[in-house]
Amino acid sequence: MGKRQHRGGEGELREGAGRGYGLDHGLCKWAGASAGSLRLQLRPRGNLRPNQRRTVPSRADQYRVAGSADCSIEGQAGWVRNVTNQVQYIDGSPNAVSGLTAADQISTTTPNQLGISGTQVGSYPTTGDGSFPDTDYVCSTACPSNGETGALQNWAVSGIPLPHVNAITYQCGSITIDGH
Amino acid sequence: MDTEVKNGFSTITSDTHSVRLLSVLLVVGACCASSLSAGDQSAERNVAGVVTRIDGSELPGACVFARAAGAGASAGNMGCTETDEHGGFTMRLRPGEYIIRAKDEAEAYPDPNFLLSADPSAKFPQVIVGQSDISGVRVTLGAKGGVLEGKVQDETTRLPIVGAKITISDARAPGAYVEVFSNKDGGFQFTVPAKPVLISATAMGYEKRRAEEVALSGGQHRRIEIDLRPR
Repeated sequence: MGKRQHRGGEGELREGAGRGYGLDHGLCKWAGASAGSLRLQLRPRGNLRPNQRRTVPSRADQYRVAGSADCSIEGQAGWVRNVTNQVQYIDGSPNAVSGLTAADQISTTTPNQLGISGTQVGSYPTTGDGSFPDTDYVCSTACPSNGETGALQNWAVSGIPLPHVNAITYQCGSITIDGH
Repeated sequence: MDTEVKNGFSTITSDTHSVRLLSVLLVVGACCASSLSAGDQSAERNVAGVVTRIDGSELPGACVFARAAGAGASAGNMGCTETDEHGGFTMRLRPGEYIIRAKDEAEAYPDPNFLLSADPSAKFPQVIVGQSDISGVRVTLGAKGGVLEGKVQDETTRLPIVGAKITISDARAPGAYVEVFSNKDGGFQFTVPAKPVLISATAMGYEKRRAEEVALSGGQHRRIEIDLRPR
């Protein structure tokens, strides 16, 4: 007990019961026990991902908050959503390591009715439970009318690309990540 | 520091001495890149400054954001950089134009990314990150609002309602609003700005609770209970 076992094979999509999901690319697999006892044996490639946990204000983890954005640019309006991301193993348990750097890239897809020409991304240090606060936003002159822009978001943790790609949908009154 | 200052009104301090400058725009180095897209991490530059209250006192533990402020439509995400014990912060930003804002919800300074929290007394400078580091960015928070805590429950059974949507809107500008969803205990919390707000609530299977006006300021706390009637 307490070991991550390596295995080969292709990745598979797993859906947890409300604990998130991720792609297992076959390097490691839970064999039980706590994350703490297994961490040193973790080979994170393909096994970790920042997972949308709950959308929250920065101070309290249980509340979900979103609202109309202060775009501060003449003629633009939009939407803001506060999120707490958490780096998790494929079974949904947290990779409880602070000080890792999670960095993302976002590329717009179609449709791009909001005319998004630039995407802002960044790098974020994880806290002790592997989480980090994040604020998603969209600002466009197309808002507050209707319109939608799709995007793909890739994450890397400490420089290691994670296999799962988030599908983001930006609208003037909502931002959804993988449909949530 | 290689810094040019354009017209504006915020205060900028350097590392070695304080200089009051009429500025809202810092142009640094060879000017900006046109795209904020992810790229070469090495292109990131340090942007450092201090967050103060409206009385000029430094604010430790505040959360500082940099949001893209170029002319075109933009989307993406922002991390939060926490200020140190002297209110200081340093963030790493890729080339581009940004507006630097801050909040401290525990101290009743609301989240400035929401239109609901717009406050003309706050001073959120714009910076253009180019080829050099930037220092001396001064962020001044506006008026203290209040912390609104609440619980949504079934009017009949008194059981908490999970996932109820509480809408908090500007009483004078209804297009400025936030949606807060109750947690597993029916609870919610939000730091409201120092202005009258309207609070309404709804949940699946329940009648909508009509808006009630609340005004908090100066760091007041208010706890409310919202009873929803089953349909």
